[in-house]
Amino acid sequence: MNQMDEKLKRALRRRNPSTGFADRLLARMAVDGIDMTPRIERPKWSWPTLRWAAIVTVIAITVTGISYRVHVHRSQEAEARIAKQQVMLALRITGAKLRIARDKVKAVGGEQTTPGDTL
Amino acid sequence: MTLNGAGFAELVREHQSMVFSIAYRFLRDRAVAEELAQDVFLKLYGELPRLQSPDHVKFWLRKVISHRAMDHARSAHRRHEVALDEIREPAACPSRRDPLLEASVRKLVASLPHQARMIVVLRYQEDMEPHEIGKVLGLPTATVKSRLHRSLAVLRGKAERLMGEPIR
Amino acid sequence: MNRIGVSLALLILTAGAWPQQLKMPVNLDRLAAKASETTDITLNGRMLQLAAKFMNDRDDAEARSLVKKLRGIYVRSFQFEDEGEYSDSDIESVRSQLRSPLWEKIVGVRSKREGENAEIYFKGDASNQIDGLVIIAADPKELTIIHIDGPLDPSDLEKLGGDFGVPRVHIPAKPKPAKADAP
Repeated sequence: MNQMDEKLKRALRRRNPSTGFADRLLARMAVDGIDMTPRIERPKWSWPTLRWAAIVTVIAITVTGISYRVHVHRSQEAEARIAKQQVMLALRITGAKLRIARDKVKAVGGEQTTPGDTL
Repeated sequence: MTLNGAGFAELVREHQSMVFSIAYRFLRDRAVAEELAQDVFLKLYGELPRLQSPDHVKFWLRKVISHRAMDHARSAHRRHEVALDEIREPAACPSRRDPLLEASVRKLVASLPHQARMIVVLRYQEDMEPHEIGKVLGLPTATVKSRLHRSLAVLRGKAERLMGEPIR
Repeated sequence: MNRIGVSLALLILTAGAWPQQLKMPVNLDRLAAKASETTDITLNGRMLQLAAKFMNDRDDAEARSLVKKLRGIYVRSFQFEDEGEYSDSDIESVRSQLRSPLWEKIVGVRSKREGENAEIYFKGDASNQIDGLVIIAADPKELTIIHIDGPLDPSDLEKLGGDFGVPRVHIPAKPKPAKADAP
């Protein structure tokens, strides 16, 4: 390997994304409604466990109304963000294909294959 | 391939560096590279049933992130591609012992036209052979080889002018 | 009813018989199973309005003004490892819908040597404005079908040159139809 190759390998070595990249991705998938949570084992039930479960359930129901509204808003934001990305991708693909068609028309020397096909 | 949630998370952690880095070395924008990398992994989740093996996943990831990064560069910068011999040199003239030398090399790479730049990134970051690069970018092997050869010649010339001495 | 009236009636009936919405056929979805990469974008009016609400950056302004007018954007793009994974009959189910009087083929380029074909269709509305665009790009290892449903002002398409890669497009003015001879 020559000097230039070595310099390029060193300069272009892999870098890591910021900490928590995978966790952020999984959180985003959860917001988007993609179920990624692993199954949890059923605990061994006892009366103290059941009592605490009941208390936790009551608290959970109380805050569900608030968190649901937040979830809906975040879901809409996430949905809109993805829609925007898809729109931009669709427009880029459209542009690329229009460009290819234009180049093909030029390649046949500007000969119009159908009326009005200048691009 | 089918994976449960934990399996997919593991797959992301295994390949996140590769995917992020291809975009980062190409675009030199950490935030955009992370965003593109996240989008690619999101898409990967939907594609998994169609991918047949770990090698296929790796090939697919390299292919999609390469194209996404080049698409982003085309739409974000909106500038005409420059011929290889019109590349401007970075202004700084670093010392040989200065760690900024690597940064200068990266700047030189960043000034290459999009396709040539991606070929160099895949060659030197991912250690891919020209025929593998051709499959990822949808180019004939001969085209990859000739663009790589020209790019290296240009990079070598610019680097030598920066350094003030020949580089083998 | 005189001859012109009959022709007009037939035209109206025929136009009405063609569905307003372009259908992306089921056989296209089957191609996804063979493709190494599939891009499938389906954005109806609601999704486009939602996306437009979040296109608030300065760079998004032109895209936003375009997208807000549209009723839908649909992209099906398939990349294959090998040639011959799809046939002309796969595309025929889309082309047959474009033979309606509503659609006009603006560009049709075929390269027999490279096997690459590109077709562009415009849909006209009652006032002769562009109300839809379909692009069919068929390469040996890639098939892309794009349908943009909604008004596309020719000046919009021209202004978009370079942005998102949409090149400047010159749409020549349609010649005015010759006046019919008096019966």
